[in-house]
Amino acid sequence: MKRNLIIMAVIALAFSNCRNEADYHPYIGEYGPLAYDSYTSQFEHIWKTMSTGYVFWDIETTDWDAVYDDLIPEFEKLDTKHNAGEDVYTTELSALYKKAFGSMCDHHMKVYIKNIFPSPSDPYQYIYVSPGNNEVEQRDYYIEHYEDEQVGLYNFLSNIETQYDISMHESAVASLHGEYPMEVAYHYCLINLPDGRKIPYLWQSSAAITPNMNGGDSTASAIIDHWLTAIAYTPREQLAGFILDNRANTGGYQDDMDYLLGSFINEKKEIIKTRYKEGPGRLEYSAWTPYYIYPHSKYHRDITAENIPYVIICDINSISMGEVEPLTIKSVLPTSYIIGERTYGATCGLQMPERINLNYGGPYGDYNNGHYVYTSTFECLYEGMSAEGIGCIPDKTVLRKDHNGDFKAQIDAAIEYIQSCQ
Amino acid sequence: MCMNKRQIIAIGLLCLAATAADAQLSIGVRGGWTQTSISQSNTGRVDETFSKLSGYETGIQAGYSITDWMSVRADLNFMQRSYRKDRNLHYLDPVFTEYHNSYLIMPVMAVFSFGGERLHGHLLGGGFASYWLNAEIHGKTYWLTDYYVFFEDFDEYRDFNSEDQRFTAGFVGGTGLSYSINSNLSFNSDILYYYDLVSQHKGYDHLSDPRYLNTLSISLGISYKF
Repeated sequence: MKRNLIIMAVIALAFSNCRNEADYHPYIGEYGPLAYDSYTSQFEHIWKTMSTGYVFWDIETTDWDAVYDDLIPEFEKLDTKHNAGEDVYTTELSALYKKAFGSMCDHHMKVYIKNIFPSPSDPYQYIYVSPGNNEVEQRDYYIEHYEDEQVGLYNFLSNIETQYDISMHESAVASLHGEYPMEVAYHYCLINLPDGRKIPYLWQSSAAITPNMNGGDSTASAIIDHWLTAIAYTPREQLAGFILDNRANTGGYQDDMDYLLGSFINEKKEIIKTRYKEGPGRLEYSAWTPYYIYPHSKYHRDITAENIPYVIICDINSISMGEVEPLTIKSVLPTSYIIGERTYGATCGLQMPERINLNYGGPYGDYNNGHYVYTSTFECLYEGMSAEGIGCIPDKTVLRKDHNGDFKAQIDAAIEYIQSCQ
Repeated sequence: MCMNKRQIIAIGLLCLAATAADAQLSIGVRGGWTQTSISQSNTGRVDETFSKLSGYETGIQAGYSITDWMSVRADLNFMQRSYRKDRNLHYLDPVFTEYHNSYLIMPVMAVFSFGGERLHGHLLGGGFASYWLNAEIHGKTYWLTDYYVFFEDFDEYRDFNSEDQRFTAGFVGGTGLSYSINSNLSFNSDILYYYDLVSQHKGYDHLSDPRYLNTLSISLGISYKF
């Protein structure tokens, strides 16, 4: 008996220390006083937090382990240079971080890196990498950055009376404060067709209907109310259809779907399946969760039963909710129709860093303390497919590039389509 | 494909042993209750806690007596090795996931017996190899908009991915009692502890993250001695 116990004890001791310890995984929400003592440690921290918190590892084509193997020696060279008293210029760092992040599939991603040992003679201290912009600028129908387009489109719409028969025209630029401060511009007009029917038209530069309707800017909320009221209450014989113009719409609140889709459905509809990161493994996720939209009573109209065309205009600078809106509306409402260009491709959800404890992913870091990585929190599927990097593909493609950059051609196509739906 | 090979080899070995059987070989069936926990680092996660879940096991057992106090035993079991993760963060505390895992597990143990003529005590020790057959997840997850939090139940199969280590192995040991009804038939009851030495998660070259399963098994078996 004693001999047996001794044998068992020896075997148990032999195996008890055979388990490996985990490496240190930085908590993705760390954005306190991180003090990097080297370029290598800064990169290692960012590399590890990406490894555990980035939400697209299941579809990402960048080999993150190869990035580590390739770039660690390069960062060590920069440290050697710095330790020898030589300047390390931000452009040198920029080249390395562009290799790491420059072609990632997350089109929301914006990476800000601080040169932690900036040279006094260096005019730049920060690096900025946007893989989405890198990809979009290569598309053959790319014309301009969204900020330039917003200004151009706003000015074009300010004079829309010179282009169409308009019976009402209102515009506003609203400044929103609170959790997500933003400026959003609107143009609402009622386009008259030659047969006397009307087309309520709304352009929105961001998706901010919900905060405006919940006590935000009163002029903006009045404009939104006028557009939705015109859709809901214009008699069918006078309503040809309606247009939502999401060109250069840079995104915003997902709750806007309650107005833009919930107003036109009779029962709850699943529009997206979504999941977030769980666990530090790259392929560890929560279960896919359906996101439902419920009927919204205030401006309700059953446009499917009444066969009312709902046209959404979008383009290459329709970003985030600016493209999620056409993607989801298209999947639910049979009378919807998308006109314009394939959109930017930033189709997944974000939560701000303050909510990182909830999701273990999404934007993280501290801009002033070495790095800030703006990245998607949720992965989303539309009709079972990922649209990240792809965006919304219109039913009818009308490229501004084919019309000398003119903003009118896509509106013309929308009106033509509505007229053809008689 | 691999699983089939392993099953064929195991059954073949048992058949081979049976053909050479003398009075020292016994074969039987067994079943019981399991409780599993997972050992993993919580580094980088601030509100996840893991707890044990119960399951069952069932299988066959084969023994071969070397001396009157020592024998070798090999089992082939279907075993549930399940555990649970809870989120503890304020207003996410309804969120949880139960990981229901099924394994084909084959412990090979030395058995050291002691005691009387019919009722024996025994100590068991050895190693095991296992193959992760199936993974299901049940629980409650959430979806968050800017204004609302929605909770949603889920209950689904989980597809294996490149991070999952489906072949694992480890150490198994325990104790038990056996009771001989007659010269051929005997009951045994065992308490075994399975201690994995191969991580369920493969990890990465520059970021290791091993997770090890630990399973307590309480089982009953009946054997026929040839």
